[in-house]
Amino acid sequence: MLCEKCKKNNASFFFEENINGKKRSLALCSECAEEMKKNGELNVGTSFFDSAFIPSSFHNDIFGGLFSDTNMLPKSSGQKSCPVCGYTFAEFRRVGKAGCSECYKTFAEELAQSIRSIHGNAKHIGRAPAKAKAKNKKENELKALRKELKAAISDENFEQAAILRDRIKEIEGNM
Amino acid sequence: MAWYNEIGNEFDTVLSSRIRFARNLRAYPFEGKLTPDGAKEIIEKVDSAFKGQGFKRHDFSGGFTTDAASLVEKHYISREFAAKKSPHSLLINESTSASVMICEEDHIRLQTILPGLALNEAYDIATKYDDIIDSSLDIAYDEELGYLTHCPTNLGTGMRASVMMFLPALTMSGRISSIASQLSKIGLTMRGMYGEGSEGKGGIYQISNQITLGITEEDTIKKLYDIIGQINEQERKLRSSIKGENLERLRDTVLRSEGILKYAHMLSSGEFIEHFSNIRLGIALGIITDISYVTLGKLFIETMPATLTLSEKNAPGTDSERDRARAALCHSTLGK
Repeated sequence: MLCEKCKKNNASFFFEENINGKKRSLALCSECAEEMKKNGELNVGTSFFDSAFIPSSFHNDIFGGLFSDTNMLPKSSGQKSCPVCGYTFAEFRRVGKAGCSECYKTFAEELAQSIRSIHGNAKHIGRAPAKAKAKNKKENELKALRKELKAAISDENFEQAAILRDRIKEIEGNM
Repeated sequence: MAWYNEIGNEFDTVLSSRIRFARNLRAYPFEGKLTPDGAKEIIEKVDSAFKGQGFKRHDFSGGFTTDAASLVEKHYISREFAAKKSPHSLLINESTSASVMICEEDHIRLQTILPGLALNEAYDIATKYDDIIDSSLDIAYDEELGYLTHCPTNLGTGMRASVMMFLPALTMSGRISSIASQLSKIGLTMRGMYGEGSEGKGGIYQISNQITLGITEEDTIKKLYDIIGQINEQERKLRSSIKGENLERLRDTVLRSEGILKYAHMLSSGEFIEHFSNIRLGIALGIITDISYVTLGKLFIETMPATLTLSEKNAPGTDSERDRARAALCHSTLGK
């Protein structure tokens, strides 16, 4: 279906409003929808991307219920693409696989639920690269030192606190 | 020596054990976004990481070949890897216990395979080579999600531990399907011989872990050992419950299968697997004493279509020629 405004692009937004029984429906491409919103021609205010707009792809997407559609999300998130490989979340969802390792960071929010539905628990335990292991060890050490520091201060053992503070600084400097 | 040329633990019910690690280089996109030049760079990097470890390299591109199909039959590479058109390479050690698929679905798929029930041993070899990968390559990893993989189903440990089991009695009794559904409830899965989509021909099944996130490698393997122990017990109990008239009938079936493999003039691969399965059960029950597990297991791989084609001087071109070559190999191996 073509956009009813420019009659060039495919319509991806289907807008319906019902004001005092007066119905209006419009099929628009994303550009025209954006432009009309900017010009105040669509009286939708902040709810522009809410459920009044149902992307056409939504209806024939079997994963529609599992993943939230990028077009339904706020604009900043909807237009989000992976800075490394250029994948959009829609592409990720279509293929069911990531474009690059950075995708997992880019789409962390969108993926959290589906990862839980595959694996249940969503936190890794097990083997790790040596670099990550070393970082983890340092972080644990810092945690313990900070706890000791707190205790030293509350005991007014300032000499010990100074030693601990220097040690913390030294580890932080190495990270 | 190849896994199919050796005897292993629990060999009456377990054919082989495999561990696979999925790893990816942080600096490169995954398959689909990866250019052929990128793939070639990855191949060189992984190859140089394994320098001096006694691995031999095979380069592939341009789709399925008989060589690749034979490697699939021997479980050294996946069907998907064999069919790939973009550059991809295999590194395999001399004993063939360890292999590395480079640029499969993930950049690195490290695999170890051993005969019988030997997940712990296969895991020890795999971690040794994984340490080499870790020390020389920057691997994509996240504190929360673990090893980052192309498919979210492998996130976490990126490990698939699988055991190929021989369960003819459970198959015949029809109990196998209830086992399969029980396994899926505890994060394990049961498939046919060649993974996803392949049937459990000849009572042969692969049991592997499904979950990779939030469970350690050791716990995954322990869970598999526990379950396999229980399945083994059920299979053996059923086997030993075959008595009286039923045992006489089974003896007849087994010996007829032996006769066919020894003296048939033509054998299709489907027919071979059926008789293979009967004879293997016959060995387990002491009905057959002049054929060993290893002789039969070797034949199992050597009679597979691509491996058979490669071994013949005049490569059989038609199905009929191949069926004759298969029967001839069975006769010369068993019929003396």
